[in-house]
Amino acid sequence: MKTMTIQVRTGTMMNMDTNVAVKLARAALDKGYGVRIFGYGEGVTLIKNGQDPKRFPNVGNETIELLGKGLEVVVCETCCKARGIVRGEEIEGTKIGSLTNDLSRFVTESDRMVTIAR
Amino acid sequence: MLKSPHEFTGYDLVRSMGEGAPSAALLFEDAVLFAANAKKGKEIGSVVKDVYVIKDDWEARGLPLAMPGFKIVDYSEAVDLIMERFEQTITV
Amino acid sequence: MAESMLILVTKPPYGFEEAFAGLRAGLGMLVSGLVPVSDALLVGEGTLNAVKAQRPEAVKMPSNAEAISDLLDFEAKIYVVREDLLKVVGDVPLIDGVEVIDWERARQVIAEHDLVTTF
Repeated sequence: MKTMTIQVRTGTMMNMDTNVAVKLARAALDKGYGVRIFGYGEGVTLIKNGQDPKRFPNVGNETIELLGKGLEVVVCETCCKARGIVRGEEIEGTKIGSLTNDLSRFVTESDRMVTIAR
Repeated sequence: MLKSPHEFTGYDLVRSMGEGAPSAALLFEDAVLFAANAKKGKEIGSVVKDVYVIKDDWEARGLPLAMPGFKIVDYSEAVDLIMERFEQTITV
Repeated sequence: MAESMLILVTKPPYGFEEAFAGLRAGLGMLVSGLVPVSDALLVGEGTLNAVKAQRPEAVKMPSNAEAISDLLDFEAKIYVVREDLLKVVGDVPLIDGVEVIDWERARQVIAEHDLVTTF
């Protein structure tokens, strides 16, 4: 199975980048591709549980739905610590991990990498 | 002022990278505005073989299409472009 | 499946976290032992990350020059596009060990890597 890694480095409420990431992930999963998301920098906010934007799309809920379709999501622990996000605050099924252990594995498993960042 | 006078734009990078290679541009979010301006649209169209515009971002903005040669695509077609039609993807 | 990654650095040092984060991501790939090749290509204002006379202590930021040196220690290649550097600031001394190239070579470097990620 061909696999796409999406590296997200934008915060969930900074602009529409994380929406693009989850829409791309959904379309790729629906077509039978493997999809990984690695959150780096502000992108770690994707896995924060309890996201509740009033008028904008809820990428937290979108992520939960896509986990059920086989999406794997890991974010950078150092970046989480910098932003005060601690283990236990992540959406169930996502992981606070690392560049060395997780992004490197995603790279070796991937045929394409899409970077969503400014 | 907070921004550098030299900020590198996506267009600059596509122009430098795309030369001689079978490349295409896939426009998301505000990059779809290339399709609404003939001058900017011709610029990007001159440095890549094809230009694709993501449908929902384009429709959301309600603008007239200034570049009829640009192809409007949905996310499913975008995935085909990324995974099957081209060997590399580079975000700018 | 990918065996090589190119970190494409477009952002200058110290105003953004991006360049440092990118160089550290490149290092993480090599430290993992899983990704055999992880190089960096500095373009546009990203070329300023290779300037020798950086003094990050002035803004109490981590050193992008050190991040480049760490990558060089792991035998990564650090490419700097000369015409972009000249366009932005002119001919300034660069960190020892970086490879100064033109855009024609830069396009080859991009093609030589399986994955490219932009910072």
